[in-house]
Amino acid sequence: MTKINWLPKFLRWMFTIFAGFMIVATIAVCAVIVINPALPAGTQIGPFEVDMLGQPGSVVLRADHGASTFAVSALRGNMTMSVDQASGLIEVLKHYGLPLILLSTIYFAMLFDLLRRLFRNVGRGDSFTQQSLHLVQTIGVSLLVFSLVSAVAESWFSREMLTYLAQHTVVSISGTAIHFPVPQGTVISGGHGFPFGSPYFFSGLLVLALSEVFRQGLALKSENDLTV
Amino acid sequence: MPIKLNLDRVMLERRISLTELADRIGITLANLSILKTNKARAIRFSTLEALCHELKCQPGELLEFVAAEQGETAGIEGGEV
Repeated sequence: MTKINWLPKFLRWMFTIFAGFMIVATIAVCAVIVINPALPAGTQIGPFEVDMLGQPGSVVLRADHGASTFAVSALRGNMTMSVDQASGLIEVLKHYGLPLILLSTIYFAMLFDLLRRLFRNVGRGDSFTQQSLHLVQTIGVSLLVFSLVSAVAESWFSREMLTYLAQHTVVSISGTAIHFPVPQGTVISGGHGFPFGSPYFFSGLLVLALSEVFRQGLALKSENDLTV
Repeated sequence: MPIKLNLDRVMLERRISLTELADRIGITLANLSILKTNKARAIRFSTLEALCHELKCQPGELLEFVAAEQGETAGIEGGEV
């Protein structure tokens, strides 16, 4: 038993560091939302060589006044996909993507803090206390709630992204441009909003099951404490 | 709990303090206090043996059965554990 005494201490410090990183990330995302930076005109990011379905391809983002372009080319340039008004795409990312990232960073900062407090108790030998039981139950319930909230938020984000891309993407094959037959105002359903495929959902169920073990452990400990 | 521990009465008869008894039988003052105030849920044979040895008495002098009042459970509590 004494051989693994370092483990709760190590986990406690690890979760403290993770919680710190998440707090820094939350502040950074908040700063980006408040500052709302824009790419200066003439900026070009890329082209980056990427692997597109086993074929060499490239990705480039060019920022111009009101007419930024995001282009992806594959099959030695025979197939290109470009998004006109790419600045709108960046705005969609800012308006819908950043709140999603903020939600995750805030939640993980809270989760790592709960884990840090739990392992502080475990390190002290107070595994089966009312406080530890409460912490484990809170972690389990929060994972279930997060899986539900993040599934809804991700589905909302992907719906907005796919709708924008469908309305502004032009695919060219060997120089022939193909427009998607999507009229303006069409909304594409993205994601289903169900949390059941999320690993957080099953982790939450597992942690809640473990909280029952903690509850029984607490009952045994109370009994043992009053046995003289 | 219908089983009562008459430790305070026996200690008074033997003129022994709580601290001294705790020292002699080798349990903490806090645990002996739990016994004295009848808050204990169970007592180990080893503790009972040490108490009887130091207080020079029989277990029957320390333990007393008091019939449960209406509303109190007389069976074994915490059966789920």
